Amino acid sequence: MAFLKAATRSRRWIRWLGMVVTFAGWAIGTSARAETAAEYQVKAVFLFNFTHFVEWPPAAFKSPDAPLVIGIFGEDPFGRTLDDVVRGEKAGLHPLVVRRIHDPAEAADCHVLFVFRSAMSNFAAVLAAVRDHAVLTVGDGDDFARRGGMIRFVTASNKIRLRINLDAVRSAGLTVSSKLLRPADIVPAGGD
Amino acid sequence: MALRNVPIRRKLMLVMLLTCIAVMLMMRATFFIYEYRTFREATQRELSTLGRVVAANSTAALAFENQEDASETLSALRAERHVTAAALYDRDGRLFARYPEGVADGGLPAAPGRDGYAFNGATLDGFEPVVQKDRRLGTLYLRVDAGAVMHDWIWGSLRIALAVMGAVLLIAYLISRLMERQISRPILALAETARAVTARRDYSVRAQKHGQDEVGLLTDAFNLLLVQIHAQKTALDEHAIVAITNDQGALTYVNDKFCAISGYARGELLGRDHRVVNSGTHPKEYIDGLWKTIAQGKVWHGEFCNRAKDGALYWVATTIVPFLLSDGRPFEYVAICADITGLKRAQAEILTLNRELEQRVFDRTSQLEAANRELEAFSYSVSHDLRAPLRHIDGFAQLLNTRLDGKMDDTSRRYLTTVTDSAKRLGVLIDDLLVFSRMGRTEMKRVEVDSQQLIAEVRTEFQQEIQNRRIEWSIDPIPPVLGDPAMLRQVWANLVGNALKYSRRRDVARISITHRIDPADGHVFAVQDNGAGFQMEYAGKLFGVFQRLHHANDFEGTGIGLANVRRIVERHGGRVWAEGRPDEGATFFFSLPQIPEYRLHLAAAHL
Repeated sequence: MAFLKAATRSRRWIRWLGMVVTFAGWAIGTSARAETAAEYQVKAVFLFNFTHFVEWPPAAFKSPDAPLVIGIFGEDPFGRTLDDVVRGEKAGLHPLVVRRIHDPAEAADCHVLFVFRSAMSNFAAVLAAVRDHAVLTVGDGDDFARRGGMIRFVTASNKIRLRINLDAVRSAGLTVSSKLLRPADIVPAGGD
Repeated sequence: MALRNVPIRRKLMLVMLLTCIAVMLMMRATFFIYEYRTFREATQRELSTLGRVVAANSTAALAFENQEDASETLSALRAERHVTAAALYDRDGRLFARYPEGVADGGLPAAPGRDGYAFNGATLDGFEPVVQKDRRLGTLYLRVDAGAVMHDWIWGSLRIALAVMGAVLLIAYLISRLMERQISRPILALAETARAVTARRDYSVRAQKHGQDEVGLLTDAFNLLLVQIHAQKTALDEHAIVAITNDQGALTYVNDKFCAISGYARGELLGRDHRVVNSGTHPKEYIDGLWKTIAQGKVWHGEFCNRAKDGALYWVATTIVPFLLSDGRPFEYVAICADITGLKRAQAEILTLNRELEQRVFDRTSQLEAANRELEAFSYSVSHDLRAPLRHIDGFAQLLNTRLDGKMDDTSRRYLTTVTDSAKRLGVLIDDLLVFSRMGRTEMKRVEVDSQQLIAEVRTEFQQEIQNRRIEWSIDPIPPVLGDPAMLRQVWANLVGNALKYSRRRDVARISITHRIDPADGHVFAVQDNGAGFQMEYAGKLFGVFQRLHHANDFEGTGIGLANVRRIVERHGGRVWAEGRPDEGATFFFSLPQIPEYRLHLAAAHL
């Protein structure tokens, strides 16, 4: 954001900075894409982005300015990345908070819940916990959607794609922006 | 065709159409400028709207880094024909997706610029932020070929303008058709009337007035003109015989008088040659002269003897006026004639009478001259024959005187003296009569005569008689005159002699000779004295033969002198007269025609 502010000051700055950033991005991308850290950096951003494309019912928040909680169930593949991404950010009036949970019972308090593939063994418990709660479940396990998850990150030809189980999203009382559906693949309930 | 030769209705139409076109072009131009600005703003606004739509559709693709979806979204721009390029940049400014697929990096901005759109020559391009819930996800770049858009728009606008213009011109044309009829119809009607008037020479026709506008005024003026022409033509027809022929000599117009005098009906005359009334009286040269004059455009005056249909001849005093075309060729001849047949007849009668009179005068003169000659011959021979017995009387009286000298008593001597004196007086009388007679018969010379010299000579002759008298002479300078010197000498001798004779009882005789020039009489000479004078009532008798106002015992004389003076002066072409009062003197005048100086010399040289 800082460079954007700078960009408004000077066109030349924009060009120059843009070139630097592009180069930097390319350099980082090529060297780090294969690495898990880089992959999860993207996924962290995606998780953050979901907060802008999904509407939660007002009842999901204790107050209009209550925080929107992004939970990580089980092993945390993000490190500090996700915290860095959401720091200082808001979804509407709701400040974004990252919470790491290990007890499925805590999952109901989250608004976005990421379930890492290593935590899929407890996924049934998690699902049970978030039933009747407006929690967007996101995961990258192979059978995540089939097992009732809402959005799955699929990695194909070095790119991360989304698969959405729209029925699951709707039954949770969440509203997904139609825009989110454009770049995503929609799978039926129980599909993969 | 020059504009001034274009019919007025066309001109009107032209004016209306040109005005329409000018107004419409100006309105169109103004409107176009306004429209152009509006159009640019609208184009920019449209692009902005398009940008917002595309940006909104691109949020998820950017957020979730789906380039295929982004490309697909951009490729929907294909529906917008004028969008030539588009690109999406992610939030870090990296080029994320492009449109059209194959466009090179160089064809797109390397990095997003400031948000917003701007015209850049023929292109309109700009950047639109891609935002989802206040969060900026990237930037959309759009480029439009504004030139092509403008081109389309201008053509569309122009087509509409042309269509409107065509419609307006059509309406203007229809209106001007209606208007021009209002204006040109009265003018054409006027022209038609004028043509009818000239063709038929019927000046009683009047043009119909359609309104009070300028054409109406023109119509009034035209009608007034016709009234005047008609009045003049009527007056002319009342007086004169009028005929008009074309340049070929064929009659194109004849008035009633022409028909009346020639005896032909108008139908028999029109189209025929003017020679239909030719009498053949005039020589060819006369007619040729006429044609030569009028063909040169000059007016011909003359008299003509024409032949009427019934063969009767009539005379006309004619004036022929040729009317010329602008190139000088005659196209019409107007002949105005007055009937002078009566005048001609009277003239002929006068000529005949004159001739008869002259003959009679000549006859009488001859008779008189013969009688005069006889009379003069008679008086000459009488006078001459009287001299011989007179000489005998005188001679024998003298012989008797010599023979009886000393033997006669006084009474016998007195008788003899009386016989001698009477014989002498009779001799003088006979001499004078002879002179008088000779004056009538002798040939008269005409030479330059120095009157001054004559007067001097005459005075010398009287020197003897007047040597014991006191006489005051006053003599004007007198110019030379043309005449017979011997005769004029007689005149001066008589007049000067008379003056001396009748003034001899004055202690101082005053005799003056004056000369003046009178416009009627020419040279007027006067001899004035302060002698016995006479009663003016007898002035007429002074110049008769043997007419005397005084007794021979008072003033001796034969009574022939002044008769001689008159005879001489009259033979010179002058006259004599006298003024006087008893006892106060008399003035005798005689005049001689004045001959200009150069003719005087000329005449003198010839004689």
